[in-house]
Amino acid sequence: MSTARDLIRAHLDLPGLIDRIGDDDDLVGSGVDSGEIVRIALGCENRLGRVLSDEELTRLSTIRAVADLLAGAPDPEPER
Amino acid sequence: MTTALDGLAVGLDRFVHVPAEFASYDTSAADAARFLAVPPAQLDALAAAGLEHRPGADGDPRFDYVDLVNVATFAGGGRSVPELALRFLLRFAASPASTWYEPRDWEVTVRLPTMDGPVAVRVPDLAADGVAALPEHPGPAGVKTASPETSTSAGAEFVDHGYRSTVRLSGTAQTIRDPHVRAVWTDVVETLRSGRVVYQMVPESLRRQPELAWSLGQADCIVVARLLAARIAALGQPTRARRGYLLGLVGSDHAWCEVAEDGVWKSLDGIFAFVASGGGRERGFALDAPAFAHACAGSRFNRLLPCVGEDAAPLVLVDGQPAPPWALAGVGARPWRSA
Repeated sequence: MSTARDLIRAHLDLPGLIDRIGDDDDLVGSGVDSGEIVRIALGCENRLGRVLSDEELTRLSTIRAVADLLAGAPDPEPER
Repeated sequence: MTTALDGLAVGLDRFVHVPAEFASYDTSAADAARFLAVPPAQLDALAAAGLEHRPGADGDPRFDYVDLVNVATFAGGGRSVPELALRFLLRFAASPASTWYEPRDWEVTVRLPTMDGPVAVRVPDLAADGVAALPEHPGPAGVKTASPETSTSAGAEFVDHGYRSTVRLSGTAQTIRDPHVRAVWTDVVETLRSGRVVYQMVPESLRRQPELAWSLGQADCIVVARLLAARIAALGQPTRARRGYLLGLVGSDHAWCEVAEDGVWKSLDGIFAFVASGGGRERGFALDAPAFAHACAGSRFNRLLPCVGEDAAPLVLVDGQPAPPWALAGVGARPWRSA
């Protein structure tokens, strides 16, 4: 779950918001705006190295969903 | 950084700037620079390259927010939020046709923007064809309210608080038979494809005059929906412009036209048709989905949740007036599985 939280935190304008969101809370309902959601989805694609399917995108609404998606993904490379 | 600035400057020539009489030059240079992700100093170069601005009371330049969105959208990199959102939300168009129509259950959460004045947001039109409230969330107008004492009354158009609603959306494959309506449709979509009118963000004030916006060479989904409705109405056909949410990664404000034929409402989505036939290239992504583009002339899709309201009216009001373009409701959408 920490990998997912780190990825989401990196795409929030107010990173501290992630600490107030439960694993199964709806991200938008918790204050994450649509632009941040879009950047999180792009971050997932970059991490996985592939395009997300429509079904994967529609499920990407909680921290747990992001963690499930990233399960098995390679470790992130250091930021350049 | 120069490359980023060059990209933005290229974007300046790809859309029609908001006419001064419809512009609101009220975005500071600092906010504009933050939005475009360029250092404030480089915004001067962008202004010199043609980004419209006016001096504020303090003498510093002020920019129109819609122009800024269009600069970012047409920068060509395909990496701006508007570009990415469009790409993600329309990914379903490349899926098999059956997935556009099969019943889908959605949980939709709407969070109001924080503003100085009172905010109101439209409620879903649960009486529309293809829309059904799920029994898990009963309540007036099918809207689960944040607190029971502020529940909406049946028929209300707005609530003054966020809400959560679970709905089943069902699409249907349909085509438009009337040749005159088809001619109107073809003319609008072909004009967009020709580039004579640019698909871009349009300010709310200009959206109210869709023929004028069209003649100025700029249109968004709301302009196209209202334009189609007006032109089809002139043929004597019952028609209406609708506005609601396109559901997917998030819920996005979207508008389309409907025309009554064969005893049902058929949808005409000119922007979907345009984008699905390669119209997104200047926005950084190419979608080649001719079957989907064809289906946009009549079919209803299981991703569109209409809201109650006439003539594609704004979804969010502040102090009784359309919300400024940056004050969007936060709309979450995710598949819903009944218990």
